[in-house]
Amino acid sequence: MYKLLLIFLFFLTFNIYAQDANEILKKSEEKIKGIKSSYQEMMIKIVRPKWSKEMIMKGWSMGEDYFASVVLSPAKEKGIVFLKRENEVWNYIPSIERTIKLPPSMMMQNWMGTDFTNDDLVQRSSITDDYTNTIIGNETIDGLDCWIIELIPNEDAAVVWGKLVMWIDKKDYMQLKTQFFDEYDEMVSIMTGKAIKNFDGKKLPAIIEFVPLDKEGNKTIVERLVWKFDIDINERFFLPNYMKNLR
Amino acid sequence: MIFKIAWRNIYRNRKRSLITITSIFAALFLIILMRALQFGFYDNIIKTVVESYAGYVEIHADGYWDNQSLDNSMEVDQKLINDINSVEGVENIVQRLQTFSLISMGEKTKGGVINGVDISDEQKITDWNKKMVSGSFDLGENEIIVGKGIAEYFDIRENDTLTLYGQGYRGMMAAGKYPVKGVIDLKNPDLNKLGIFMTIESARHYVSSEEISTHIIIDKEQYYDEEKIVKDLSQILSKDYEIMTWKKTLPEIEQTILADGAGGLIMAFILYIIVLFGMFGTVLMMTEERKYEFGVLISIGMSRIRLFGIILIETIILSMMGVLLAIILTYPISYYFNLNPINMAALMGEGADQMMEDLGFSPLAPMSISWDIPLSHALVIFIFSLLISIYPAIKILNLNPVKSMKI
Repeated sequence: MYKLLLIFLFFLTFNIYAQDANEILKKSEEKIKGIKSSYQEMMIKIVRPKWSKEMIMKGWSMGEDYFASVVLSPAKEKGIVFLKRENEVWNYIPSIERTIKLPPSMMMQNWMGTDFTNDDLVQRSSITDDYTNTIIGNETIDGLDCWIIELIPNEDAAVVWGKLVMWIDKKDYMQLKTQFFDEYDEMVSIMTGKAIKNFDGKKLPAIIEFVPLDKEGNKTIVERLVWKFDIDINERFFLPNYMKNLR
Repeated sequence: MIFKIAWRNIYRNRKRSLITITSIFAALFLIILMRALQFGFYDNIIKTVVESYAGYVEIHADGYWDNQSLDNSMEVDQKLINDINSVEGVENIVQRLQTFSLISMGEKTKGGVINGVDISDEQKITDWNKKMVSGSFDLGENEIIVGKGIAEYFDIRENDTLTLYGQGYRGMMAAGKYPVKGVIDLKNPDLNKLGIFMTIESARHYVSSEEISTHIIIDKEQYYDEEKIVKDLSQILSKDYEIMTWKKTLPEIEQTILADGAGGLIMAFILYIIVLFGMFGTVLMMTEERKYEFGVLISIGMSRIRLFGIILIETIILSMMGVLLAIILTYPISYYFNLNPINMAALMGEGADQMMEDLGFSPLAPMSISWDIPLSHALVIFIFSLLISIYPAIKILNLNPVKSMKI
């Protein structure tokens, strides 16, 4: 009887912890995406062993399902529009005046030459619904006290990762570091948040660095120049037909 | 003196000499013609495939061949061109920029290979301007020529526009619309189904880089050994470049030739065995017939070595007469069929024409007039005659004059 009680107690505490971790992640996600919508201007730098390339683009998002971006520079790629609509990906290329819907076979290819795949951007998996989350420790990063949260995908979730480990700071719920593991429990990439700034009243890391560990010397750096939240935007903005009007 | 005796011996028994010469001549005649036809056919394959597109020697940035990405391209400067030109045997060089791309028109899309070429330099190496089905090879900026296969796939009419879409240099996106100015038939189904041609400047603009090339194609002087060019080049150029002959870039052609050539060698081998035994038979008979004569010569004081010398010279003279006759008679035949190529497809029957074209070969086979073939086979026959004369040599050395003169 005593033993049973102990086990019960153990599960109880475990549950409390899990809820806690979910709560933390939810807050942190809401902070990045805005409750309804967001607008951002960013510089993306692609680093390769022999060369590097910089792009500037604008992006709009609405909830989890809609995201659109348009390239501002380099000049040759200016006006290329990228649209995510639920789990579809569309491209508009002004030089050939064509709208292209990416076939599923191209989802694992790089997004605009970066280290992200198209699939990374489309992934609809929700951090709170598709993963079982546990706080596994505390650590201080750059003077900020962080929770370390382990995310293990549920069995029926359509997730490519085997496991995620996130560092989220206790005060502002910023995601400061994420490690991505494959199904063999091998770390495949690391994402780090740096240069904390105040965007539209929220403290967020302005620079995100994504390093794939299997490709030496490769790196993608995303720097947010402008970031606004809960802007006024209509769902019609994210229709494929509207893409050529984005500037 | 020895030579004179040998000649008289040949002349004395004219019938026997004639039979020997004829057997050597007939076999060699067949061997030479067969090989000339074969090598001529191979030369023609190499010519149609290599000269029409790949070039005898190619230079790329190191690592390009295994990973044909624009990120493995190179910037060609004047010094590199001068260095290559300084190598003996190099006749012309030309740069190309090659990249894979999606081609699309209307609802249809397929994959293709864009070739950015230097229009004026290219005409020194290839004969593309003669292979145009329609339009001309003089391309302006952002105009393209497409292979016959692509034109058929999209049902292209004059002034249709194709959309090209692919990856550019260093993470850039490549996309553009290009009007079709002509259709080319490269006589090679693969090239026809994939090839798109534009000026190298247009291609560079398409991939967003103003100076890169992927290939340097080298045309050699006729009959100059491409392997030697590769050897000389590898001494001059740095490790940043890889140098390849068509044998590496088009291994299937080299393999076809090797496999077919092996069949030819077996045929030649069979004919050689016939010649060998024909010659050996004559020599054997001659030795037996002339035992009495040898006995007399040795007993009146002729040295055995000299006697052997006479026999050796006789064999050589006989075989060389056959060889000479064969060379003299085959050369005009080869020469005639070199100028008037044999249509292999016609010989092989109906449908062969299409099959050959599908394989990328021209069915016309001019005979080879290279001196390599008759001379190398003449050498083989010469060695045979030396080998065969071992038999009479042994007989003469062991000859007992008294016994041999008893009849």
